[in-house]
This record gives sequence, structure tokens and C-alpha cells, in this order.
Amino acid sequence: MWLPFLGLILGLIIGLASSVHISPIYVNYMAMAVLAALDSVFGGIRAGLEGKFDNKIFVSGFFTNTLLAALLTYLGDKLGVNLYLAATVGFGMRLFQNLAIIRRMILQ
Amino acid sequence: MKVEKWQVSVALVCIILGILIAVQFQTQKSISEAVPTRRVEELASMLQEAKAYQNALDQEEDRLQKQLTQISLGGQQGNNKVVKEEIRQIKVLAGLTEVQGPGVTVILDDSQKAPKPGEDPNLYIIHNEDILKVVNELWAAGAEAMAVNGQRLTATSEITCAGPTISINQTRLAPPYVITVIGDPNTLNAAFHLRGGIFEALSYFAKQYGIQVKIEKKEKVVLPEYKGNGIFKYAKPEKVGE
Repeated sequence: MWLPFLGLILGLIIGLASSVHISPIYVNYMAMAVLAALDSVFGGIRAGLEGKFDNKIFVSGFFTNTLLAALLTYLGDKLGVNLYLAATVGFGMRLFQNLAIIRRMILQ
Repeated sequence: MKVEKWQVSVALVCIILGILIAVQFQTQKSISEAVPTRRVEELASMLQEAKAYQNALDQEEDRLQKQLTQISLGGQQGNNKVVKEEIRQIKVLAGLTEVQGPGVTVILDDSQKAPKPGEDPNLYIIHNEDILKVVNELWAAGAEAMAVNGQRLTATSEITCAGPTISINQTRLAPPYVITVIGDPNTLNAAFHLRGGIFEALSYFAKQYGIQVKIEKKEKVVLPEYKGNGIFKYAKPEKVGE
């Protein structure tokens, strides 16, 4: 279980050290990408603990989720509707569900 | 502890997640820091502009004062009383000197009542049009000089709406509006109360909405001079007079 945490810390260090700034226009997209990645991580941990982990599904899920979230944000921008909220709610609910399942598995 | 395959994949995505979070974090931080600094710069440049403007005005005043003393000195030396008298008259006419005399004061104030729900709150306050009408009526009745809340009305004085206040001589005034007028008190009073005139119109609002209108005859009122610089940038005399 320690490897994902190590990866997270490593990523944080890389990100902070590189001091990359993105344009404020893309902050929403970035937030969606973060959510999609978080969702994938929790989904992956859950699948791993259940023993159903499939690398293809995991990687493709990560990219399609991120793309769809970005697409929704873009569409929302153009339409003047905060469509990224749909992705936020969807990812948020799945995050909590996955977290609950992971918790149960670890406790049992 | 053995490392399973799925953990490697998850760790890789975790690295990406970490980078994303870090970048997002830094961007948000720079946004929240950037806004106030921009505001400070804006304010600083505004302050500088205002200071420069003030300096220019000070210099202008010095120049004009010198010019004025020169002219009046020249008048004395040349024993030219006509010029001095003419300057004095023009200054009185243009509102550049303090003047005093008999007259009236008209006091206009907003209503003390609160608007009922659904009612237009504009009915409860004094507007620039009200002051304009009063001033116009009084000029027509032979008023010779007027000031509103200490702002002398000159040929170029505006009476405009400036949000919740009224702007006269580019100065914002707040209610109550005290219009001080020099002229024959009886004539001015009579003109103000003319049937179908301004007082009748205003007293309707006074009765209905509580706007306050008052006129008082005065034996002596003092009007301040016009405090603007009164320099025309575009209008120049066609021929320099002698």
C-alpha cells in the first residue's frame, strides 16, 4: 500500500520544484484533471484490493475520464453553463463510494 | 511485503496526480497574490496622477495671483480706476468674489419616511432636476447670485446627478440642499410660491412622500466666491479687448 503514497509524494515534489504556472483560464480544467486522477487512483486501489485490477481498464479509464471532464468544462464554458459541476458531482460521489469500499476491505 | 502489479500502475498515476495538485496549488496561490498587487499599483498611479494634477493647479493659481496683483498694481500706478472698477464688477458678475445682500434661502431635503414596499424610492429624494427648477425659477425672478451648499453658481456651473448625490461645480453635495439667493426677498418669495409653479409641484411630493421644502426671507446672506479655476481651455476671445 505504500507505493501509491510514495508516488503521490514524488509527484508533489516534482510539481513544486518545477514551479510551473498555468494560465488562470485553465484553472477549471486543471481542477477537473485533478479530480479525474483522484477518481482513477481510488478506483484502482479498490480494484486492486478486490483482486480485479486490469491495467488496460485502469489506464484507459484514467484518460477517458480526464478527457470527458475537460470536454464538459470546455462545453460549459462555451454554453455559459457550469457543466464541470456534473463531472465534479460524478467524481465526488464515486470517490466516496470507492473510499467506503476500500475502508471496509482494509478493516475486514 | 510484495509489490503487486496494480500498485505500480496506481503509483504512476499518483505521480501525475501529485504534479497536477502541486501545479494547481501554485497557480491558485499566484492568482490570489497577484490581484492585490495589481490593485496597489493601480492606486499608486492614481495617487501620482492626483498629485501631479494638484501641482499643476497650484502653479496655475500662483501664476494667476501674480497676474492679478500686477494688473491691480498697474491700475493703481496708472491711476486707472476705471480698470479696477471694471475688474471688480466682472468678478462680482462671474461669481469670483464673496457677495452679500438681502435674499432668501431655500432648503430642500430628502424624505424622512421610508418608502413603502413596492414603491419607487426615487419619489422620496431630492433630484438634480428639482434643484435645477428652483434655481431657474429664482433666476427668472431676478436673483442676482446663488449658491447651493456653499457652491457658488456661475455661468458654467452644472447641476447634475452623481449617484446618490448631486454634483455642482464638480463637487458632490449631499442633502439637505440649501440654496442661498441674493435678490429682492419679497419678489423671490412670491415667485417661488407662484400658482402652478415650482413650490406647488414640490409640495405635492412633500405631502405625498414627505420631501421637505422650506423658503425663508433673509435680511442678509453671504455667498462664497466660486472656487474653481475658471480657466477656459478651448474658448478664447475673438479679439483681445482693451
